[in-house]
Order: sequence, then structure tokens, then C-alpha cells
Amino acid sequence: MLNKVGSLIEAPLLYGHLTGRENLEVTRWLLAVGREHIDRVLAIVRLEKDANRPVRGYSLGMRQRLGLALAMLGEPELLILDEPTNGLDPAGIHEMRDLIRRLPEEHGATVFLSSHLLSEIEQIATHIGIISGGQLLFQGTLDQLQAQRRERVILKVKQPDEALKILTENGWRIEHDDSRLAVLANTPDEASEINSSLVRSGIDVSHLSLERLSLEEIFLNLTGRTENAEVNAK
Amino acid sequence: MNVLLRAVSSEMLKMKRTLALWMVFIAPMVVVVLSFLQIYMQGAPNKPPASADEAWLRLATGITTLWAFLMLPLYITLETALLGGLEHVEKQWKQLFALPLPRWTIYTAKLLICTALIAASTIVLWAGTVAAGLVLQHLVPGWGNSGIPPWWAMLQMALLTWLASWLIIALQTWISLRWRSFALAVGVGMSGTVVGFIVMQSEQWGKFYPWALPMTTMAGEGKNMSFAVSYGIIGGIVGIIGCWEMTRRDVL
Repeated sequence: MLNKVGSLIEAPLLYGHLTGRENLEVTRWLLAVGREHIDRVLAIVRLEKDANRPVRGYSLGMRQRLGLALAMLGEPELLILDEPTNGLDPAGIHEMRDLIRRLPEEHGATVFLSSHLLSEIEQIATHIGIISGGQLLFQGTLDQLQAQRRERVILKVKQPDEALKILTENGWRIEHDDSRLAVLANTPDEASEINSSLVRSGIDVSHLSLERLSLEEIFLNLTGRTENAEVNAK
Repeated sequence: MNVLLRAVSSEMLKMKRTLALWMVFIAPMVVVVLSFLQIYMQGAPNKPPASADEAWLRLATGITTLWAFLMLPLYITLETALLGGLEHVEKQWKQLFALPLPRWTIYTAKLLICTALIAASTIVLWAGTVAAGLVLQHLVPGWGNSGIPPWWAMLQMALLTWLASWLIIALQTWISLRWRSFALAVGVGMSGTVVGFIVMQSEQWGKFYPWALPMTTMAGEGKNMSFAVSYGIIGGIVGIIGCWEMTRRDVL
């Protein structure tokens, strides 16, 4: 089992006194893979130029990439990455994200990524699982996740109080503040239904837009961290 | 077996450019140079040796004694702590034990490398002794070690201390790998050595105290070989127990 799995857990575990290439060599001996794989993984993470410098002089991003190279050394079918962009600067994050996205297509590895950076996940992952307090709350594609949650129709109207009354009577759930109304709705069809019911009642609608919930908002909703906010909205 | 060889190769690679590797030469040479200087300053002994061989062995005994009772246990302490430290800096154990090879190979490879490094130092000590003797022939002719050195007898003496040190190696390796703290490993080794100064003077206990064993073996004339071998075997057993203890744990 283990020889089909490569892993990078938080910070990579590297020997600072050895060069990048030597670090790979140490693991290569243990994995019993051919020497040519070292150049292969160095090329994947684009570290060929710095491979012969001691790792203690590497930047955080380079260390992280070398860690990824180490994890790829045994040609794993499954790659487990835990917080791979932790502590990286924006350029490093971008590069790492780019790398991880290419891995499945170009190298046939399934990537299992865990992270608290939800915007990261949103940009990288095809399938998502949400775990809170040891419970798997959701598992599926990003689209499925977003379909599960209602979108919001954002409205700006001249007569907010009346609009609120009409919509509530029609059974919509509404969050509102002074300037705008946010109606929980699912599809563009529902958005036009809301619009026409308001217009029929003589309300002037100056703005209507559909707002997709970000993964972060979905996550917070699923894990119940905004329960108070929801209660307030009701 | 193949797996073990791979693990050993990987260990050897890790030692590149480390102090641990340099210590293999430094530790024995310090002892050789110190002993040499001492003899050089004191000049020829008042009572000349009966034969050239005896003079050679007197030189070797002086050097090996200093080695066995002071430098060897301290050097093993430092060496194992340095090698263990390599894996503790970034908690490399997590990664090593996630690799697709049996955990015992990694521990065993470390133990073998430590034992081999001490063996290498023993050879350096022996070679250094011969070299020091050859220089002495010119600088202090009165020392009396003319001619060709008794290679084998001298090497045997050095190798005995090595065999008798297996138990210290097994214990110190286990301590330095099992606990993250460099201070703990060094502390145990240093205290062990210092307490050994006293314990080794006891007929009764000197034979059972790990850090005094190389010295006890040196002193027990005649029967040393069997002594050293049995300490080596006990060291091997302790090594296996240490390996079992280290690798059965889940949380590292």
C-alpha cells in the first residue's frame, strides 16, 4: 500500500546540510527507485537549477517544492498533501497551486489535499469533503456542494419595507439590512419569479443580481459557525 | 537484507559534510596526538623496555587506555546523539516511517552505521598509534620501539575495546533516537562515563557497568577476548530490544 502513496505533511522533512539532489537521493535509496527519477521529479517542480545547493539556503517555497518532489519520487498513485501552501508568499502559493493542478493530468496521480485555506481548495479541487469535529459533513463535487446551498438574490428596491412584506408573504427567506435585501433562492428562474412578483405589486426594482456563496461561506454554514448570524437573519 | 542495505546506503549519504563524519578521525587522533606529546615531553623512560615489541605494546596500551576509559564512551555519546539529531531536527521520523519499508530497517541501519563508525575510528586509532610509534623511533630513540610494530597484537587490543563498546553503542543509539532531546542523550552518556571512573575500580561491578566495559576489558588480562565477545553479544541483544521498542510505537 505505502509504495503507492506519496505524502507531504505540512513542512517537508529535509536534511538542511544536504543539497536538494542529495535529499532526493536519500529517499531514492529507501524507495529503491531508479536514479533517473530524481531528474524527473526535479523537472516537475522546476528545481533543476538549485538542486546542487544545500537545502538550508532554500526559500520556504523551494523547500515546499522539494517536498513535493520527494513525495512524487516513487511515482505514487495517491498523493497526500497536508497544507502544502502553508507559510508561502503569494508567488510561492501561485506556483504551488499551479503545480498541484498539473499533477493529475500530467502524471496520473490522484491528489488528496487538506487545507484550511478554502479559496485555495476552491481553485484546485474537483471533489470536496468537509470535515468538522471529526464528522464528514459533505462529500462531492464543488458544483454539488454549491447546488446544496441556496444562492442569494440581491435586490435593491425603492420601497424596502413593502418588498419585505410581500416576499415574506410569498414564503421566501430573507436577510436584509438598510440598503439591500438578500433573498435565499436557488435558480435564475426563481430570481425572475421574485422580480416579477415585486414588479406586479408596484415595487421599483433598481438592482437584481445572483450571488453565489463562496466555499468559505458554505463551509461556515455547514459547520455551524455562523449559527448566530442565521438566527439573527430569521 | 536488500532493504537493509538500501537503508544503510541512505544513512551513509545523510552523513555527508556532518560533524559526525569528521569525528571518526578527530576523536582517535586527539588521543594519539595527546599521548604522543606526553611521551615526547617526558622523553625516554628510566627503565628501558625488554624488547622492541614490548615498547610498541607499551605505547599502544597507553593510547588505548586513554581511548577506552575516556574518549570512547564520550565519543560514542556524541556520535549517536549527532546521528539521532539528524532525524529530530524536523521530526524526520514521521517521514521515514511513512516510507514503504519496514521500520526496523531504519533503526537497524542507524545502529549498524554507528557501530561501523566506531569501528572505523578504532582502525584510525590503531593506524595513528603505528604512525606515532614510527615518529617516536626518530624523536625519542630511548623509547625503544625499534623495527616493525607487532601489528596484530596492537590491532587486537584496539578491536577488543570496540567489541566491548557495543553495549554502550546500543544503549546510546536507543536513547538518542527514542527521545528528541540532544541534551538528554549527551547527559546520559557523560554521566555514564563519569560514574564509570569510579565503578571501573570495583572488581565486582566494573564487569557489569556498560560505560566501563571497554576499560574493564583492557584491564582483565588474559581473559579479555571472551569478555569482549560476550559484551558484544549482550550489546547486540540490547540493540534488538531497542529496535523493537522504538518501532512498535505508533505516535512518534
